Amino acid sequence: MSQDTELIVIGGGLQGLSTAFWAARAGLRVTVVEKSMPGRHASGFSAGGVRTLGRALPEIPLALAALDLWYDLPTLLDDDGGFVPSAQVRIAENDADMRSLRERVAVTDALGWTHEVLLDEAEVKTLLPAVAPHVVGGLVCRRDGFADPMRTTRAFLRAATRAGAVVRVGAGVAGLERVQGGWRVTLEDGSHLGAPRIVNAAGAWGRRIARMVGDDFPLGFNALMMMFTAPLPPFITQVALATGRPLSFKQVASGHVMIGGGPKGVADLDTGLTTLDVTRLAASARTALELFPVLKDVAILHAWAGIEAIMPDEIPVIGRSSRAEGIVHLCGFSGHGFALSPLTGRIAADLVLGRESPYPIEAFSPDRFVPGVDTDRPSGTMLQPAG
Amino acid sequence: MTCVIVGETDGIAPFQARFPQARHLSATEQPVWHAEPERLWVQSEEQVGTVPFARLVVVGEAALLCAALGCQMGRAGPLTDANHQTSRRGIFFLPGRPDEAAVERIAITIAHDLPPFVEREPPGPVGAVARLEPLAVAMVLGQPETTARDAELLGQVALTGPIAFCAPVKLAALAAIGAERPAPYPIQMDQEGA
Ligand SMILES: Cc1cc2nc3c(=O)[nH]c(=O)nc-3n(C[C@H](O)[C@H](O)[C@H](O)COP(=O)(O)OP(=O)(O)OC[C@H]3O[C@@H](n4cnc5c(N)ncnc54)[C@H](O)[C@@H]3O)c2cc1C
Repeated sequence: MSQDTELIVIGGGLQGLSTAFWAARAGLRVTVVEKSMPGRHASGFSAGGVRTLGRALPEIPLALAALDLWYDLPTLLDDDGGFVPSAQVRIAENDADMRSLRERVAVTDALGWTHEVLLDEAEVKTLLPAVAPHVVGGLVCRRDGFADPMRTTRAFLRAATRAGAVVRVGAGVAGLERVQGGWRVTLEDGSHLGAPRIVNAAGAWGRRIARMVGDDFPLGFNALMMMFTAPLPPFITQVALATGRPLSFKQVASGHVMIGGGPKGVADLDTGLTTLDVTRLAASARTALELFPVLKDVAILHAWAGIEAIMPDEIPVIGRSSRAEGIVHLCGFSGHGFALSPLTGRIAADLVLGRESPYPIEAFSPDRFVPGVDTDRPSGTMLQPAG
Repeated sequence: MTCVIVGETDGIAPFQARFPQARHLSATEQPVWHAEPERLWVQSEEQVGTVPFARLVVVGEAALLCAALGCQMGRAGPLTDANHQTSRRGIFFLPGRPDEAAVERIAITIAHDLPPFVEREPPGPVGAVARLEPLAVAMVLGQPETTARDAELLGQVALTGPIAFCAPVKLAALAAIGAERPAPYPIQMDQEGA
């Protein structure tokens, strides 16, 4: 069949738009097909945390390189995505938490990474004066920060379009068929598109796309929930995370406090809608209040959830299909793909262009889940809250 | 069958005689801050709690509450039929203080368990509505409840689904019912195409 374009990117979230940006910049004719609207799902609902702190070990080189790109975003995209360098701090609430932070640093130090720095009780309380008295220490990444999810999504959308990519909204992929010279994509309205290469950046729907080309990996999904309080006078500039329980916490310039990092509601892939679980939001509110008593009189204004792809080992799927020629999978970001997106789109673009990734990506192989293979987490792996 | 009537005091007053068994939730004393099918979340001083319902009558500005319950929304608020029933069977909406005839119609509809006959509005100019950042949605929710505010929020509802919460809730009151470490919620798996 005739090829309408050189690369079709399925999914107009941050991963797909970043891929489109880098691939179009490299000279490919790119079409993004988005079932709904750019940023409709995880990317638009993200907490926007840009975190190298506490990353799964295989993600560390990517997270560090992505962080450099965040600092360069104004040059790359003509927009900083609202990125605020703020530092991220993981808080130890007891000796067990502190031990796990020490173990973590021992592992990262041994591997030559020095971006995570231990804090004793006095240091963490100097850094976070509003933190609760029971806190005994922490771990900080001083270059980390956060950004605005929709603004970043729109910045990548504009930059991709400027670089020549075409973004089609309301264009859901219903089928993929191998044809001579590439792939024939059938859209939900029955029309077709052809290209030699496809990137599967369909987020929580990534497994559906993978199955269309004969691949499969255990990509599940969850509705990650967040809350915003009413504004308070400034009391914290860093993003704070708990260690033994899920929490990510920050105050933005307007004074509103964002709380999240773990609670899950219920997601429906068919409708794209989510249902909040109030009892789990309550647990999150409790953790936040126990760590930051300054919240005792504040009201919560907004709670929301976004559907995020979750892998059993909580690291993404990034790599070429070993069965389906021309297919690259880029999904399964497990609650922390916002921070990686400036880089992971570039890696996917390299892969479709036939280049090797300059970063180690074997751990993210689409084929890593072979039945019977032990998927225990390596030591030094920490709880990674969304954010 | 639990019937609950929600709204400003003078809005729910006309229902008191006709529905003596119903639970009347006054917006000032027990504000509803979130709604799920068959239960409302209310707040008292110290903690939050739920009020179950089988039939619900909402009086006054409550677009977000109706949206949370999955009622079909028009540009100005929930769509209702001649009996004031929304697209969800057993959920009724009246924008202002009801007259006797409205109360009677609702009573008859409930007594006979009549289905709703809501006609869909032609889709609004959703394309013209810009998707807001979560922070911007929080800021709009923090403004006093007005028709203009709700219209802006309904634009977002049309783009991404119900917006929570219907009203602010005290963080400490919510935290009061929170478990210290709830069991992890399992990963949901997609069976399509398996
Ligand atoms: C509440 C929440 C908080 C988070 N906080 C953080 C954080 O602080 N830091 C961080 O790093 N990460 C965070 N994340 C995770 C991060 O937002 C995601 O990992 C990232 O946005 C994933 O991007 P994506 O492009 O893969 O997915 P998405 O943004 O979900 O995009 C996938 C797109 O594919 C489209 N699609 C699906 N099926 C089809 C089809 N058949 N045809 C065409 N298009 C299709 C969808 O409509 C969707 O737009 C958070 C996520 C959530 C939900």
